[in-house]
Amino acid sequence: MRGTLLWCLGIGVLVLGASGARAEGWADRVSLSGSLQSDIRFITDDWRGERPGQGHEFEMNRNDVNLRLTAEPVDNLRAVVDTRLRFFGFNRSAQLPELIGWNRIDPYDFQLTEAYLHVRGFPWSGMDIKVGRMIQSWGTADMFNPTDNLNARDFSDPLDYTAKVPNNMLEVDLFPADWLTLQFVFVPTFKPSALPPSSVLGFAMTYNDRGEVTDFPAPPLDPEGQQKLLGLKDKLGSSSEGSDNPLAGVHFTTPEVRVVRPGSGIASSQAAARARFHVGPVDFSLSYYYGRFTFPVAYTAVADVVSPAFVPPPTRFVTDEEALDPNRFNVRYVAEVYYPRMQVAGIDFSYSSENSWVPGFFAEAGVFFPEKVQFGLEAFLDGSNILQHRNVNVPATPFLKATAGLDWSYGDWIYLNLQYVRGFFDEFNDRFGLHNYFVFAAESKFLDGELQLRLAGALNCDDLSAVVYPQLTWVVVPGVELVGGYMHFAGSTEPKDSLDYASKSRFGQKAAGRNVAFFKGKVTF
Amino acid sequence: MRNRLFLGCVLVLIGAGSARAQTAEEILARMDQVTNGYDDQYMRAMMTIVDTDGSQKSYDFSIAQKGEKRLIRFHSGEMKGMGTLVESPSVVYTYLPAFKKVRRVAPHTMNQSFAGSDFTNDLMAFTSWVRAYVPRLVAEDETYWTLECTPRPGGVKPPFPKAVVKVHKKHYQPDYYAFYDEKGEKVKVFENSDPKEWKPGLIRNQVVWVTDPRTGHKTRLDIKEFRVNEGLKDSMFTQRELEWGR
Amino acid sequence: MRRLVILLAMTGWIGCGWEADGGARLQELYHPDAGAKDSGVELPTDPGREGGPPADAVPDEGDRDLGVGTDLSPGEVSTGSLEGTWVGRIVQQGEITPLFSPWPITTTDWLVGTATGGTLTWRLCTEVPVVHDEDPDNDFVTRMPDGTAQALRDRRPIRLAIEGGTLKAKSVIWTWGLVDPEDAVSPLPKTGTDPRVEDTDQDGYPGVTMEVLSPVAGRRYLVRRVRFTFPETAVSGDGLWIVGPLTYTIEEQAVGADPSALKADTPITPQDGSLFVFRRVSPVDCDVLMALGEAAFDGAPTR
Repeated sequence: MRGTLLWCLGIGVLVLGASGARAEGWADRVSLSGSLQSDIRFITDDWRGERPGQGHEFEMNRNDVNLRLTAEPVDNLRAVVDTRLRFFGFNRSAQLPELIGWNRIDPYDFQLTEAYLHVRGFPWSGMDIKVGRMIQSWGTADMFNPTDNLNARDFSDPLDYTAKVPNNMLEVDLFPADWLTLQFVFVPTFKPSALPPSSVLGFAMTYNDRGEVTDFPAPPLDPEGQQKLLGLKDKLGSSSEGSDNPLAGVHFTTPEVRVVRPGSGIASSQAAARARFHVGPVDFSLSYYYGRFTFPVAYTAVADVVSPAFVPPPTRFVTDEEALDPNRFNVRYVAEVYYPRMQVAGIDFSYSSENSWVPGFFAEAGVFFPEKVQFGLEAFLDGSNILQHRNVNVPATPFLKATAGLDWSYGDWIYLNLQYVRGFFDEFNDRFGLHNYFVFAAESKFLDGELQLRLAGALNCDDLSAVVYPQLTWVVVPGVELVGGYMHFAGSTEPKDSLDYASKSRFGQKAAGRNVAFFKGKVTF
Repeated sequence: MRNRLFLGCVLVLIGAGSARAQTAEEILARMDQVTNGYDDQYMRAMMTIVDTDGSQKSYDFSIAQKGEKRLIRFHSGEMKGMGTLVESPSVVYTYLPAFKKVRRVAPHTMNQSFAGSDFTNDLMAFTSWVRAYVPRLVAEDETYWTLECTPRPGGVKPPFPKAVVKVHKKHYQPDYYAFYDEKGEKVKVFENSDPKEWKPGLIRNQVVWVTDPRTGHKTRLDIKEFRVNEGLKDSMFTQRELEWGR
Repeated sequence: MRRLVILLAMTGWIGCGWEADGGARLQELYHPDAGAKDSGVELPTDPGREGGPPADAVPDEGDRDLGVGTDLSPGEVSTGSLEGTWVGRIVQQGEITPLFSPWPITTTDWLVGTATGGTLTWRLCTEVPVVHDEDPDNDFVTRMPDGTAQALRDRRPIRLAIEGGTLKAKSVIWTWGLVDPEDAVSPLPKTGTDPRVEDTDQDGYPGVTMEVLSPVAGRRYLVRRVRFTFPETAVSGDGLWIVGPLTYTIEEQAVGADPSALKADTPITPQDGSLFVFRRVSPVDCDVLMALGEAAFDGAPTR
C-alpha cells in the first residue's frame, strides 16, 4: 500500500513537474501576429454603373483587423486560428429604428479565415494530417491555377485577387521519399465563390439617360432561342410607339437571380489528390479533383409579363417602387444559376535555372470534365405560357484550361512575370466560351525596397479588352505600408449583339468591375 | 561534412605546426573552424538597415543551416511569415503567406540583397573561407593577422573575387573583413564586435556592421541567438517544414 | 490532348453522364401538371388576374336555339336566276403570327344577301375569327362588336356580279375603315389621324373597332382591305346553293389600340382551303342566321 502510494506520488510529481515545465514554455509555443488595414476607394468612372451617371463616389471605406494565433502545445502539433474583423465604414441605416444601434450605422462582420490542427508525423513519421477550416493553394502558376479547385475564390474585394473562401477539410500528406509528396484532401460541403459587387450588373437592365430600360441581359441562347427572344422583344417593343426606345412602353421590375444550391449530401462533397515530384531543377505534379465549379452558370430564365388589363389601379398612398405600372406591360425577370459538377485532371511543372539570365518557367493545365448544363427559358403572359426554349449552355465535352508563363528578375531592380492564360477563373466553356489572355506583372524596387512600383494587367486576346492595375507601395518602416493605385477596365460596356451572350466584352462589361482609385494603409505585427 | 574533413586535415597540420608561426592557411582554417566548422547552426538576429539619411528599419529573422541547406524565416515586418528554403544551390523555394503557397524561385535570386540590406542571401550563409579563398598574410600586429584572400583554384565560388580579413589573434574571430569587386573597388566592409561565448567554447561576435563604402549605406546585425551542432534533422530543410503549420 | 480526351471518353470517364437540365427544372416549377397553369411558384399574382379575362361569349356556332319550325326554304326557285334572299358564309383559311409563332386561323364572315338584277349584294352579319393555337392555355380570341358589325353591314356591302344563274368570276375589294371604300392600291394608313381613315363604326375611334378578349383584353382600331376572288360558279341544280373555293388577300393595319400594345402587327397569310357557301333562303335577317348558325347550311353540296 505504502509502496503504491509512493509510486503514485512519484508519477504525480513527474506529471505535475512536466506540466509545470510546459506551462513555463507556453509563451514560446504561442505566437500572435496580424495586421491592421484601412482601405479607401473611389470610383473614377460614371459609365460603368447600373445607370449612366452613377459613379464618382466612394466605393469602400473599410478597416480590417486580422489576428492569427499559432500554438504549438507539443512538438509536431500546431493549431492555427486566423480571424478577420471587418468594419465596412458605410452607414446602412435606412429606417429610423436602425439609427438607435451601431450595427447599421457602422456595420461589420467577423470571419474565421482558418482554424485547423496540423499534426506532423502521425501516425507514422512520413505522414501529416491537417483538419479544420483552411485554405489550400495548388498549382505552380501565379494566380491562374486550373488545378486549384478546393477552395472557392473570394472576389468580394476585386483588388485582392489572392483571397479564397475557407472551408472545412481533411488533408492527409504522405512523404514516401524526398522527391515525392502525396496529398489527399476531402471537403465535406460545397461553398461557392464570393463575387465582386459589380457581378450583379451581369443581370442588370441597360438604361438610357432618361432612366428608361433600353435592353435586358442576354441569356445564353442558341440562334434559334435568340430569334424567339427577339420576337418577344419586338412584340413588347411595339407598345413603345413614338419613342426612339423600343422598350419605352415596357416596365421592367428589378431582375431576380436565384441560386440553385447543391445539396448537403456526400454527393456534393469534394475530394482531390495530388502527387508532387521533385526531379532536379524541375518540380511537377499530377492532380485530380472531384467536385463542383465554384462560379455560377446560367441555368434558367423566366420572363413573366403582366399586361395592363390585369394590373390593379394604384392606391392613393405611396406605393412600392416595384409596383406594377397599370399603363404598360410589366415584365419581371427571374433567373437561376447553378454550380455544375466537374472532374479535373491536372498537371503542372516549374523550372528554374541557376543562370541569372534564364527566366523561370512554369506551366499548369487542367482538363475539365464538366456536367452538361441545359439552359431553359420560358415566358408567360398573364399566367399563360407563351415561350419555351431549351439549349445547351455547357456541353459535356471536356475542355482545357491552362496557364504557361515565365518570370525573371534582375537584382532588386526589376521582376517580370508574363503568363498566357486560357480560361479565366469564371469561364466554364459555356456559351461565353473560353478565352485567351495575356497577363503581365512588372515590379521594380527603389530606395532599398522602400518604394515598390508594380504594374499588372491582363489582356483578353479575343476581344482586346483589358484591365490595368498600377500600384505604388511605400514601406514606411518595416511592417508599415502605404499603398496607392488604380484599377482600370478597358473595353466596351455594350455587347456587340444584345441577344448574343457570347458577344459581351470580358473586361468591358460592367459586371467586370468599376474603375477605382485606392489608397491603403497596413500595419503588420 | 566535406568542410569538416578538409578542416580536419588542416587542423592536423596546425597542430603539427603549433610550435612555430602559423601560416596564412593555418590562420584562415582556424578562423573558418571557429566561425563555420559546425555540422549545423541556428541563428536568430535583428537586422537594422541604416539609410544614408539616417533612417532605420529593422527585421527579425532566423537562419537554420546544415551544410548547403538553409532555412530562412522572417519574424517581423511586412515579410513576416515568409520563408525561404535552400535545398541546394539550384533548388530554392519560398513560402508566400499571402498566397499560402510554396513557390520555387530561381537560385540566382539568392544573390539579391537580403531584405534590402547590404547582405545578400548567399553572403548571409557564406560558410567556408577555406574552400573559397587562398589567403596571404600581408600584415600583423599585436592583435590581428591581416590576410589577403583570392579565389582558390578548383574551390567553391567565393562571393567576391578578393577579400581582406583581420583575424583576432586571441579567439580567431574575423573582426574585420572587406570584399572587393573585379575592379579592385571595395564594395562591402564587415566590422564585427562584442564577442560572446554562447556556450563553452563557442565564441561569436554579437554585432556585425556591414557598410557599402560606395554609398555609405549600412546594415547592423544583432545576433540574439546562436546555436550550433544541435543535430538539426535533414527533414527540417524540406518543403514539408516550410509549409508546416502555415 | 485530343487523343487523351477521346481515350478518356472511351473509358466512360467523362462527366459520369452528369446533366443539369434547366428546361426540365422549369417544367417542374411552372408546369407540374404538364400543361396546366401553375401559379404556385411566386410568379407575381395580381387580384385583377384572378377573375381571368372577361367571359364574353364567343359566338359558338353550334350553340343556338334553333327554334321549332324555322324553315329557310324559299319555295320554288329557278336555276336560271339567282333572284331572292341568300345567306352566306365566306370561310377564309390563313396563318396568323400574334407573337412569334404562326398559328392557323379560320375567319368566317356570316352574311345575308339580296340578289337583284345583276348583283348579289351581301351585307355582313358578323365575322368570327378562330385561332387554332396548340396550347390550350393560349387563347387568342377577338370579337366583332355589334356596332362594328352594324356599321359594316350598313356601309360596306360586298357586291358580286351575277348573270342568270351563275356567279360571275370576280375579284372584289372589301375595305374597312377607309374613307374610300374602293381604295384598292394605296398603302394602308398607319395612324388614326391619317385623312384616309374614317370612323366607320362611329364609335369615336378611328377605323373599325375589334374587341380582343384573350390573351390581353382590349380593343384594336383597324383598317382593313380584303380582296376576294370568286370563280365563276353556277348555282346548284335545285337552284339553292352556290358553293366554291375562294382565294383572298388581306391587309390589315391597326391605327390605334387600347392598350397600345395591341397595336402590334399581326399579319395573316392566306392558306389553301378557303371557300364560300351561299344558300338561297326565304327572307331572313342576321338575327335568324346567327340563331341558326351552321345549321343554316345543312345539306350544302360538297364541292
